[in-house]
Amino acid sequence: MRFSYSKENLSAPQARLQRLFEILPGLTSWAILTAMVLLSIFSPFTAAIITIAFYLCWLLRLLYMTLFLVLSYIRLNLEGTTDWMGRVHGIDHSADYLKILNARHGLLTFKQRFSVWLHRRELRKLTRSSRLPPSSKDIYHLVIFPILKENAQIIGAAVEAVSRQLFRPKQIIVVFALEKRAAQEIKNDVHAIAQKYHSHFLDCFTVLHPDEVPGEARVKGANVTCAARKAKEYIEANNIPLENVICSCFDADTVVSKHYFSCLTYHFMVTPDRQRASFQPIPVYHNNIWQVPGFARVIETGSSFFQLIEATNPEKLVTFSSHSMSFKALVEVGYWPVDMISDDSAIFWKCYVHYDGHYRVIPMYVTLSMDVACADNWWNTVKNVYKQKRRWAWGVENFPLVMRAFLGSDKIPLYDKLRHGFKLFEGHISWATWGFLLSIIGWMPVLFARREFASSVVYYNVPEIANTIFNLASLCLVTSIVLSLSLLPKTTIRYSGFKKLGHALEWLMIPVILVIFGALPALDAQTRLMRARYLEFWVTDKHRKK
Amino acid sequence: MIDLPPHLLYNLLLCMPLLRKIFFYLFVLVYLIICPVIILRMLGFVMDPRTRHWVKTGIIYVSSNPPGAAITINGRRAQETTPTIIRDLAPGQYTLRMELDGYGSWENQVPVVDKKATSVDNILLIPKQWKTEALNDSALTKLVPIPGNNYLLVAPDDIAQNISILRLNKDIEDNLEPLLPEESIYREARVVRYFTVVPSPFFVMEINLGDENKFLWMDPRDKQVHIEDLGDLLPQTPQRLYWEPNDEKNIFAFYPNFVNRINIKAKAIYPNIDGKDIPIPKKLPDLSDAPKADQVYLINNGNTFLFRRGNGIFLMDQVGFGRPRLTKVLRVAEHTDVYFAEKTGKLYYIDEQSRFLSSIQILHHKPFIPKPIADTLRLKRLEQ
Repeated sequence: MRFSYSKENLSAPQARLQRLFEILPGLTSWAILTAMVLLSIFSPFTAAIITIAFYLCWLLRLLYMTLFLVLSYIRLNLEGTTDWMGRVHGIDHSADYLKILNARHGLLTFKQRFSVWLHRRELRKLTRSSRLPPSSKDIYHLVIFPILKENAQIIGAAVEAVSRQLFRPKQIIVVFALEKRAAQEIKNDVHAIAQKYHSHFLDCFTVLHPDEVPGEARVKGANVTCAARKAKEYIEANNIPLENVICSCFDADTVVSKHYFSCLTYHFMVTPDRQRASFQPIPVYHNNIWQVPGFARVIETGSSFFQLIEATNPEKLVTFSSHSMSFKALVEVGYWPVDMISDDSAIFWKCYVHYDGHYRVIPMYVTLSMDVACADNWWNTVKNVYKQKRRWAWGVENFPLVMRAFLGSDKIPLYDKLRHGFKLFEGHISWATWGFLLSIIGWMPVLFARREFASSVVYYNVPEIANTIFNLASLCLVTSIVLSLSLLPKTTIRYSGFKKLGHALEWLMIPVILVIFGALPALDAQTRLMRARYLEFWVTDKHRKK
Repeated sequence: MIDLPPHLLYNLLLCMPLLRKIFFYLFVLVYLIICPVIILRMLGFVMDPRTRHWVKTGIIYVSSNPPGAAITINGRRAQETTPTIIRDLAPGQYTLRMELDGYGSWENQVPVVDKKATSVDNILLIPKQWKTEALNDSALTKLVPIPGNNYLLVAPDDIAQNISILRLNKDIEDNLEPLLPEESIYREARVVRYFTVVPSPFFVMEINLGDENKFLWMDPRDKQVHIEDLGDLLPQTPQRLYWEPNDEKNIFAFYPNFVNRINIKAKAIYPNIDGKDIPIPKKLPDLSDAPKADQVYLINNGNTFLFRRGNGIFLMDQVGFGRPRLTKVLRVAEHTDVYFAEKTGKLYYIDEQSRFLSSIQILHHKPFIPKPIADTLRLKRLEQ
């Protein structure tokens, strides 16, 4: 479908539709919150009934999500020892490979057997599809790092991680997408790193993104698009087929595991529609996790958990943060949007719309690590984390674009439109409202009780039922605490046992975190969109102690 | 590790989308079943196991002061002690009894209405033995409460120099101190009457010194009582004096046909002021349900009347059902006032026999289960 994935230069009807869908999420969120407050004051009976029905819904949803969090975590664990590069080589010699796989079955541990079973399943699917992959020696990786304020320590660690890949470094092209307005010191650092790793990879070069390009906003998407265009020229000049290139757009602080590119190559090879796919790893925030305040640790662990849960539903998975995709698809859809902040999710929707719904995200059970947003002191860290969450919540800017695309498309099945549209809408609404409803508004009927309500059975039963629900929900909290302790990197600092106990107790801040760093930034973002006060891109400060 | 057949576990971990669908519909089903049941429960509906029909029930909310009383309802002992909620009661009358060691039992008929909560709130349990204490060792004839404050005046006679002030600090009382300093020129005066405003800390004392009547404005908040002679500011004896509780400067003197405003600091009289400039006294707590008495206090978070009728001190529950319990506490000296201090929970009085200033502990605990917040806020505004 030909669709301009942008809110600029729209015709009058499209502009009106755009505004309508920009207003809708914020309006809905405010309507829900306001209605509940008013009901609590003027009709506490009704508010109490709705509150309990909501709490029950929340509890069941929480149990549902916790169940899949555990399953996803188990899968992540099981895939942790997989020899991805071995599989890649195996697919290159597929004729003998299956025989070898079957022969080894009896000698494997449970983890290995599961992994092999999975692998055989993927191979069977691949064979049936008859869309065989290129040989691994013909597959190239294009890695783009957008840079504006990140120093040598941060960029160096990211590139070093790419250099240590088990996948052949000589099939990796690293591009630094550097903003022209970056400080000279940063430019010098980037050039030095490019020089250092130039001969390690197939190539490692810098693309300078000029300022004030017409039609572009000061966003990361514009920067990486510029770099991708230059990279395309390089790839074509070196006679590398675009369909053999996998593009990974990483934040400058992204530290990938040494298995990342071999895992990515494997998934690219076993996916029949590999040119119609993005590949989403599990983001963790371990680079500086022990250097940041406790609330930041809890929030980012929660973000990782959310991605783990989303990975269990690939039919509705949307790309987030650092991820990879077919370079050919990226070129065909016209690269990332150059006027949107949420380029990570926007590129998925752009591809989805362009290919009339025949585009999906493949979850990869491999992690990549990034920095927790922080600053030089506690209060600035609070502000940075809040701004980051607001920027994430700004993903709501995709909603009007997606809805306009859906309305204009007759090729995307109606069921898929409804499914995706509802998930996108409902996801943002619940993000902005549930924190307030759970922590504050849910208690208002009892707080504002007049005599008539205060002498009813409902008035006395609501707190008891709510407490029971919250006690059951604490089971999910305990599960989250256990998983987070398991997921966190081992620390070599003193009193690590106390540190971990402290981290477990940090999870008790959830009610406050849910509101201040969850619902509030989301409501802030939706309100700005509703009022057409569009957000400017804000680069997260990266601070890491040496 | 989970002891499942390998293929089952593999399928479990692999077929996440299918599993999500299954669990999604399962949870929706659970929600559709459980939610109405819980809401009905919340509204007071209970499934009768005999008839298997939903029946409407009510609840009784019970709390006592002090807490921890054992509860018996229609002769059956409840598991919990006060404060607690007794649920799933069919509509009707119930005999509710509370018992606590060291205290007399409380019993009353409590009605239960379907879908409603009957509040038996902060029932004051009467100790079997009242704790009384003498606070001085000389006979007194007068006790003058300064309502809403933490001090009171006592005196053996009408002579100003013999008036003592008792300050109340937390749970203990200071010693009695003379109201007037030794060198005061008013020491020989005879006290005619007192003017007080609830809950102002100031009071005005009308004294007769020689041939003339004087009005002394007094501020006893500090150790050294601050005295202002209103002197010429009140050339005639007013019928009534009023001031805003926290106003240290202005007093309104009410005469038969006019009202003057006096500025104490400026020593100025503003005669014959307009009615609209006279502040309206703050509304006092509603004591319309109070028994006829000479003095009444609403204590125990508004659940109990403490009142003096003649020289008897009584307690009466303020409940909306059954028989209100009336308890005689003690007898005090004739024609003397009493004072109940919220801060200490004690009643101060002049003992009938010894005529000493004495105290009796009425409330041991602050009532901690408040009435519905809206009621509490309304009560606080009235008290102010």
